[in-house]
Amino acid sequence: MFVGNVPLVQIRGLRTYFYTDDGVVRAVDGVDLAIHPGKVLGIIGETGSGKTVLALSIMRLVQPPGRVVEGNILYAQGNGKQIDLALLDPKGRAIREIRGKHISMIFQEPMVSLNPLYTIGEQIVENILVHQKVTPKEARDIAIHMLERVGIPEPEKRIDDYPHSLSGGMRQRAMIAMALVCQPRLLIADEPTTALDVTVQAQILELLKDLQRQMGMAIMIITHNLGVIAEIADFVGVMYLGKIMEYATVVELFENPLHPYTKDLFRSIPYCVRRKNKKRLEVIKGDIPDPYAKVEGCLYASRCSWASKKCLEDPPSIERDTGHMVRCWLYV
Amino acid sequence: MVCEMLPTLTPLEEGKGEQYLLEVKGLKKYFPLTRGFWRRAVGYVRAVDNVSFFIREGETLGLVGESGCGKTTLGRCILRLIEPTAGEVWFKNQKGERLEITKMTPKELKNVRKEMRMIFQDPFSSLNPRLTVMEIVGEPMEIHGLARGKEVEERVRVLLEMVGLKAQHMRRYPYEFSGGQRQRICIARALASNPRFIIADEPVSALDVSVQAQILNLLEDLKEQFHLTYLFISHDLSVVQHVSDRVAVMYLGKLVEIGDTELVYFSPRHPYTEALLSAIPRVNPKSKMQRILLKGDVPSPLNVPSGCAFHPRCRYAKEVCTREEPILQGVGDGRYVACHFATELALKGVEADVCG
Amino acid sequence: MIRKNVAELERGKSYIQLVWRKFKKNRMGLLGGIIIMTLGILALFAPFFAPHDYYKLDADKAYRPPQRIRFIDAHGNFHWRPFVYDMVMDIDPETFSRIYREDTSKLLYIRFFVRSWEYRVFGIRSNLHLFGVDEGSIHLLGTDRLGRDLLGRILHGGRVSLTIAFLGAGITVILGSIMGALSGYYGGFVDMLVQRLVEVLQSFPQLPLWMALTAALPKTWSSLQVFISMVIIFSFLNWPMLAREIRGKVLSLREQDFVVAVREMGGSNTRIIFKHILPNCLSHIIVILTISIPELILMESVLSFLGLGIQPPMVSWGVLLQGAQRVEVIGLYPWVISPCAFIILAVLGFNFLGDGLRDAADPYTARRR
Repeated sequence: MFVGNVPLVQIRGLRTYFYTDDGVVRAVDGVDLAIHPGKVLGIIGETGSGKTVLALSIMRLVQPPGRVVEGNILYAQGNGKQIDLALLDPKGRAIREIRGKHISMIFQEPMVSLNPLYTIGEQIVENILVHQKVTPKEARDIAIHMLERVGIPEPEKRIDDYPHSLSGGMRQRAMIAMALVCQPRLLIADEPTTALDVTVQAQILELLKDLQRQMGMAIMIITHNLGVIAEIADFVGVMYLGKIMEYATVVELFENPLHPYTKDLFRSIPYCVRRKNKKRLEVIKGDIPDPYAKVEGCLYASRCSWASKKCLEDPPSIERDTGHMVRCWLYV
Repeated sequence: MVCEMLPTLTPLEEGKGEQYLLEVKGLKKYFPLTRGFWRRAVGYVRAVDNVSFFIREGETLGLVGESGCGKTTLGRCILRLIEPTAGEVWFKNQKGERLEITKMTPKELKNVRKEMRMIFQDPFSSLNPRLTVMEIVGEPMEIHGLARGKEVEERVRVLLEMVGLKAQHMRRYPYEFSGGQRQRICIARALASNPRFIIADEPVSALDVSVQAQILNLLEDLKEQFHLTYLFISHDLSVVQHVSDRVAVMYLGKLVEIGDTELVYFSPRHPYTEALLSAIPRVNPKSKMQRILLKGDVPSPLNVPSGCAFHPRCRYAKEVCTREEPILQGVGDGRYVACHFATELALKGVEADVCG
Repeated sequence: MIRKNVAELERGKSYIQLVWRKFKKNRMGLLGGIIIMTLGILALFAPFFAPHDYYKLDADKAYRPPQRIRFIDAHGNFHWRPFVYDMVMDIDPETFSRIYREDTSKLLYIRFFVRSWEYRVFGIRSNLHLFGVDEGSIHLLGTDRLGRDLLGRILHGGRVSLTIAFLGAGITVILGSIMGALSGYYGGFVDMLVQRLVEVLQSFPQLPLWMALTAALPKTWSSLQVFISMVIIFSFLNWPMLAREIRGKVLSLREQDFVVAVREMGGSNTRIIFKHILPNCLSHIIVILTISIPELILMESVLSFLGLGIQPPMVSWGVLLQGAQRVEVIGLYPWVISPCAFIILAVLGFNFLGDGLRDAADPYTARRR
């Protein structure tokens, strides 16, 4: 995949563990991924799949008792040099320089990451002043321009609003404006539309696509919604209990899913069909295993209908077709 | 102000009331907005505004709408968990008597609550963390005196197995269960009093995708087994499409369209329905269908736009829409639409097979 | 089949078991619990632990200093059995005040489970005591102005002090949680009424009010009547704090789905409040308890010390401290302030215990992040 093209972020064997009183949670357990410049990588995962921790690990924002234990996060700085984010001090200057300016992040609930005590303008301007050498006046102009670009009506007025006076959709737009104002090369969006209504979700997805096209940044979007992935992603990684089970281009994944988990997932969601074609939903048996339990072998084996004795061992990651990776014994 | 509070009834298939399990007529819930020391009402949030519909025995009515449209308030008003401001709710009980719920005394209400139950959205906050599963599921039986002592345990055992839980876990506390299992406990609790009608308020929205199907199938099986009638409230359009026989679409406290699921989804008659359906993300990366993007956000229910509440965002809006409020009217084929141009517009439905 | 049997055995843990599992991890909490248990047992069986009848006056033994328990005598010989020296009284030739000195010629061996003066505990007559001496007397904490054994009196006084605290806190909790729950749950007029009442009660300066109320009790009342009135006064002035706390918690619980669910299934308000809302306030109640029990112990001592609370012949820690009102007395006979040590111990013990219990009272949290 993309031979000769240096990925923007290359993740190799990343492990982020949480050392709690009740045991070790392997939130991210050996993830290999590449984020390419100007492309959208989608990560699908359910609760406890470690998708958010993966994102926080790249940002180096994992809070104790969690920590990155192993692996590399190689970030191409643009000047031909690569820097391993996994080796940086999470509180150091180097990572703070990258955070916000090179890589920025938006969250599921914008209210959490916007400070209710400051106007959105103040927060965006502060972000600009930290990373760019401009006067406060210029920063304000940049902020207004950015708010306009994310589709906030009357940005000159709205810039002096407090976060709580905006609606959910507008808040998420403000969040996006804040994240993009320094023209980052990678935007990590963690469930950016989950808290929103369908009509607003459609608007935000459309906006993200537009902005990505205009600004040429890479996006890593994390969601549990297959529809969102299909709408926006170029590449998709399917994550389950801290591991990438399958990785492919979006068209390949949706047309030819290989991993039993991916297949089951596609089959278990309701589709809009004519009444005469309506079928009973197929069910994935059981529950997502307890993150504290140490599972030997394939993590999905307990719920998989193709499971065999082989699955008691950890399956290797196989490259099936070009760029289509799958972690399952069925394809060895 | 007083005049405004009077219900304006929309006759829905007048005279046919006998066959409906539930009939809601002109239901309203206005939350007063108070200011100052004397709590003067300075305005009303019209959470539910003159809603009328019916549910036939044995069918599932889906209720869709975006957050803040009043669908949860509507569900709770029907059960009088929130006292409605005006309107009538008629329920046909086990003996076939038609009862008006909004005028019931507490004792009558308690009696009818056996038959009308509710399943909540959040399986974490809807179970008392201090009670065991046995106590939780047994509580409705205790309240209505349906079983005593050992009998309760036996019935809880049967119920738990019915919803797919292990009966030997009945002495555990809710925290020991996953989200999906907790929702099963909630379902068992709802079934404990032998209900005939269940309001499911976003029962799968808080669950993981891989668990969602389990609960949807369970609800379907139980419906068969116990001849239940559902009011299924959700914002997830494909889930609603999957479970319901008929669908009601709600916008800013009002019903804008109600009718057979197939008709509403594949040939909608209200522009809002069309936009809503078009916004469903498609589980097909190759689909290039043009999406209708609504302008702006849902307006605040505090100041609902004049005329048709949807007109500022509607791409078909004409002058009349800003002035006159359309009423929910039959357009034939058992469908009711609140739009001035319901019969004139050719609106696009959902693409078959591709929505998720 | 075998599997089924194994599965059937699952009992589930009771609330107490869950709390205990969490509580025992907290060392300070355990320590507090042990202190309180010990004090409680000592007070309950005070006569058993007291070698001498602590109501008996003996002018010859007034203000006798504490005797030290020894293993080695004045000649440097080691004795297996612990002993004390007898005390003899002299008159200071210059000041004519009494001075006691140890009579090293007279070893009083401490014997355990001896039979001496008769007493009643829970209606059972007995004359068994934990320890004692064959002849002479043993006063490990000395004696008071009238020659009564201070140890016995402190242990006995603990009964009253602790009972006041427990009863007072108990009534406080009952009143406070019911008022708080009603106020939070029903809202509206009830809420207004309760809240205004709370505000009025809380706006009084507490100490003067307590003093005024206790001083207003008729002097002719028996000490038992005074005792009961004090408990009632304490709890009536103490519940507003708890009511406030509970009200806040109830306001948030009221909107929780599990409470709505009980209404939905037809449960009465009484059921909602007592079965669903109040049990979920338990950790708040415990916090208030741990604040108010020590407060009540202290307040009782203060009032009784000032002569406004418990009246002799009833004994409480506060009453005992009356004996230490003057600096000269403390200077000459420092052991009379030993009830203070018990007060401090009890207050600390309750604080530790409360801390531990509060953390353990909500054992229903999943181990998820």
